[in-house]
Amino acid sequence: MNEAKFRPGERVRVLKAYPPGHIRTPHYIRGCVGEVERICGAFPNPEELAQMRSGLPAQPLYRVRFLQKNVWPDYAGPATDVLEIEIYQHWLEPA
Amino acid sequence: MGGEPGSTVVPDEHDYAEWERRIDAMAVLLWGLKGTKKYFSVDEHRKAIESLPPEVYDSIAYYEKWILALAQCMVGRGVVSSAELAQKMKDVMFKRQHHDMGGLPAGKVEPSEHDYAEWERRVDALSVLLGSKKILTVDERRRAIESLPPEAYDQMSYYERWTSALAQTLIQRGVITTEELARKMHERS
Repeated sequence: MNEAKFRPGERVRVLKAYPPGHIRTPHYIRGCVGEVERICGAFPNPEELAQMRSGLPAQPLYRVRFLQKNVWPDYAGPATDVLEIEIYQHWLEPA
Repeated sequence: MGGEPGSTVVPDEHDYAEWERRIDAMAVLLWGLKGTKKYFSVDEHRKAIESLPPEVYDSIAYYEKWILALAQCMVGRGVVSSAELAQKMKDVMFKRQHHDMGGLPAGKVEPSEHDYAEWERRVDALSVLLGSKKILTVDERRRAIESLPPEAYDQMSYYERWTSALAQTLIQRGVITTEELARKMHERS
């Protein structure tokens, strides 16, 4: 299992990258900055499972909280609205 | 597209750019590494190109298709992982994958109660069983579904996508061959 690099409350940026294959990081969130809400555990990497490999070592998975207004340029709702997405560690870097 | 209407082919002499020569050389070299993990065949390369979404296929140059095929084959063979490629390709913009439609304008969602057809239950049962026997993973199924050409993705129903993914993954795993599938489809037609 890969060690969890981030702790709840830390700010992280989602990689802005577009590799081929089965990617569970939604397109719209790539490049956005959010805050780790919790560590969900560690799981075999689904990108590797999708290619018929083991996905090991298990990758830490985080629930990351984003402000809606930081995700959608024309967001009209309250400024405090948030969006939470579960993202694997290899898609995150410190922000 | 053989047999389809097409426009006039205008042959022209042209030279290749340096990057095109490099891509060609790299692909040919990789095809030559038989028996190694890095090896992939010209047929894998063709399969990757033929799997490109139609609008990508039509909008990019010959050797650009080769580059995408190289990336696809290298990820498929485990030479590089999607994660490594993502790290190196930061800020290189590829087209959004068709299924990844979060945030796009869409109509209203109308929830409705519905029952499942017998064949849908069978496809579900078969997929879950193959999963529990470790013959395929849910991630392989998702990858196969996400690789459908956009118009097929939009036209197919939920379990039609599952059926297509079953065929695709079972072929990839070597559980069945395209020849066997073709023969059965011919017998039933």
